[in-house]
Amino acid sequence: MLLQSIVSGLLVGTIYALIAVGLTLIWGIMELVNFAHGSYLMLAMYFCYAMNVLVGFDPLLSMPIAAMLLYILGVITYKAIIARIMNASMLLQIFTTVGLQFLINYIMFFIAKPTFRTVKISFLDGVIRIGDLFLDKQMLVASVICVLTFVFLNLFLRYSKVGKGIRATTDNPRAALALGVDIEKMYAYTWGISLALVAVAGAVLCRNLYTYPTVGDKFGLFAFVAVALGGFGSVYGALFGGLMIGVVETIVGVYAIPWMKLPAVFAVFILILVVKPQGLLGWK
Amino acid sequence: MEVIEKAGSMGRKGGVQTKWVLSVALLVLLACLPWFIKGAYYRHILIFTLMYVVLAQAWNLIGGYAGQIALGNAVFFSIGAYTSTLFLVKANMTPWLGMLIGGVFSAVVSLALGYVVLRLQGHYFAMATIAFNEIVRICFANWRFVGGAQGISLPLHIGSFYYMEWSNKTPYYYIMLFMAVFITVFIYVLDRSRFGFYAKAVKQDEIAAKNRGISSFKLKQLAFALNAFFTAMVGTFYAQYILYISPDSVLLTSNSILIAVIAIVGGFGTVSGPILGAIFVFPLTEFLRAYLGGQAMGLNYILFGAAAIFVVLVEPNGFVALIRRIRRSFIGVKEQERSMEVGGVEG
Amino acid sequence: MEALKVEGLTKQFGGLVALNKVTLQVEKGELVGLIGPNGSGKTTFFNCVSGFYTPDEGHVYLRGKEITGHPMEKICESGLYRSFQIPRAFRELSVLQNVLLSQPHRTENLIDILFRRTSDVLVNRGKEYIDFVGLTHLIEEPAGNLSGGQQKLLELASALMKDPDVILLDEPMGGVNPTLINKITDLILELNRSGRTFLVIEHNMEVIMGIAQRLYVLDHGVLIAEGGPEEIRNNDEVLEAYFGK
Repeated sequence: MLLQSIVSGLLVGTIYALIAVGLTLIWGIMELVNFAHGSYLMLAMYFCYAMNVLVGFDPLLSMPIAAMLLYILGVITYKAIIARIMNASMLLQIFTTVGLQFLINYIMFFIAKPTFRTVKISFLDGVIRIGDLFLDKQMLVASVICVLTFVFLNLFLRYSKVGKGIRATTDNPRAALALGVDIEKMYAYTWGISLALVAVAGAVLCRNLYTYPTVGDKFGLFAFVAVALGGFGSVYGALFGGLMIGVVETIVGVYAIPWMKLPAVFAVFILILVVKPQGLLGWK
Repeated sequence: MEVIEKAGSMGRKGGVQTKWVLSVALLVLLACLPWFIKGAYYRHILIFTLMYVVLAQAWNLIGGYAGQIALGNAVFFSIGAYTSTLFLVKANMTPWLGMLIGGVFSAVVSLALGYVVLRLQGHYFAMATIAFNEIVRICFANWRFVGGAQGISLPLHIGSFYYMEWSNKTPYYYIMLFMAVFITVFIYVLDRSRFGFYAKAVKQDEIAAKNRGISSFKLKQLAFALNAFFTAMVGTFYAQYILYISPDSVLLTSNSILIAVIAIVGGFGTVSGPILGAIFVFPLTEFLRAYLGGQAMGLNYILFGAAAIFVVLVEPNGFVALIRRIRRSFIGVKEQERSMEVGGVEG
Repeated sequence: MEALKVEGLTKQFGGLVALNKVTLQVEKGELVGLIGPNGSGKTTFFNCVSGFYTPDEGHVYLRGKEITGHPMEKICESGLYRSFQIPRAFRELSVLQNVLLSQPHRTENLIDILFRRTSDVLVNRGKEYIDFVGLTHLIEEPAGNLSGGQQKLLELASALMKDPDVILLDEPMGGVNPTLINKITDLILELNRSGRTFLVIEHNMEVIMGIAQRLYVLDHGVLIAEGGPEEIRNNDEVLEAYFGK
């Protein structure tokens, strides 16, 4: 029973991790917290829903398109808004992304109305049994996709030119600048990639969850928690944090009072912020 | 006595008198308003606008003066609402007393929370307040004593002063008007007192302020407690006005964020900023929504969100500063003051 | 009882030992210098004494009372004022406002802070100190408009407003143009003559040798010498520390 919970938690955790990675990339490179992160997730979910209704695509099919669109949106967001406040006070920076979350949520509120939408999916129903464990096929597929995306991201960061540029700018902006890295471009790339990652998570999520204007908020918050647990700025830390949240949430849900899942996670969050802001692993 | 606490004392002495005259005139106008405006809908807008004024002013204490962006004020709002309501329902206590108790209790909670989170840097503090908001919301939604997700409907005692309920909106209007005026005057006094003085110093350079012996932490605690106190009182008012409270109506994080956005859009750390912000968010956008018909659900908030981004890009110090800019470009006065990132200058 | 006594002060950053069991004292009314080559830990020392850092080991006593590890604001109110190497004036506040931020805070209560403004007595005292350092003509000017040297003078006035038992000056002559150096030196000497206690970090050898009664020399976090200006000038270890073998 415990093993079941842990495994289920890990599966769900990979999704949280993927969302968190985007957040931590932005923080790492420009010390900015994207309070609107969850809202972009919601946008991705709505896009996949729309594609499902209009063209009949399964969200997994829409995923690449969603990722591309959100990538472009990320770059636009950076260039049009974030770039302007890079040197502003922290208060203003917080306000900017908070304002963005506000704006995006209410735009969708207006366009889509606060009704709950479900996506009709045709395949991958049911449960797989591995030994004593019962794994939901949807979850499994979702998790695998997230892990693959994560691996791909890591390869990208390590071996591609842009990836190296991003890492260089994150570690040491001055040195990167001296070596000829176009910092502005790196910032834009990071925003684009961050949101593209979120799009993948969104595509995967909307198959299992209701889509409504504020659906992203919870995930946005969980992303904060994951990043805090793993250490702000650390990609592996985000993975660790996401997995941990998934496990904690599931275990609390199974063994304690179910509704305490979220409060438990958030309480842990506040604790980490106060006690060990470098994250449990002490990275960055 | 010299007012040394007023930052940016670059004399505009003539301006001060006109300000007083205008303020008094405005006050008289507001006091007489119920005679002119009879429609329930319009009165409702006025009352809600005043509510937002008070909430935004209270927020400004912690956000604008103490420089910590709090995004969880709904908690304090609901402490006020639930405290007075529970005392009313269980002990038949008058909400007037319940309001005070709620305010004090809320301040105590803020001190406890603040002790833990006020030392956190900007981003982390903001996140912590959101997290706290969510924790309280979910707990209340599952707590039978406070009515759970269903909330509490207030017992009807229409037309009773003791129970703070009337059929007519007028008494409600005057209560809110009083609160709005009170808190505005309070902040005006604070702005020119040592609180405002030290707050401005801490915002400019916290380390240097601490080096002079100023405890920035205690300052923030004070700001947070005052914010909690006033916010809670509005919460009680809301309960008595709407006669129904529930986690989904008073504990939403988006409401917490709304208050912050109002205050900042209006004018960060100024006395009249929150007033401008509240006027913009509610009446103006509400009229627009009504004009476009009930279909335009949430349109007013979109406008407001757009205004927020506009403020960020064009005039970070909010509408107050924007108006000042426009005024100056008409009068053609040279820009004497350097553009201030984090304001505090009340001309 | 010494005005300031530091015993065995140690501070590490990761593997680097910035201060290693530093012990020194300053008697009331003395003007003591703290010198040493770049990176020897002088500013770190001030940081530890004034509460900016918490020392890993050691004790700091102000007029016999322990202040080790106390928060900055508490140490300041206890009677130790520390000025920064790069002046930290409040740029958007006026000179007068800057000085008045040093008014006594320990005795302030809630009502004072919320409703009362600074008393006339304190305002006049502030003006006196501004006059003493010669900044009266700039009294309403935002501190950000002052030159580096003028900001140092402002820092001095702010220190005096605090009426501290000990004043820690971190490179008061640093980045100041030569005409002002004499002025600042004279002011410090005058203050010292009237009984003020100073511990001064200074790179300008000419100046510090001329005003300090006693000197401590720090090298790589270790106190290597102590004595009067003549002694220190002829001390081999000191010369080695500065110029190498």
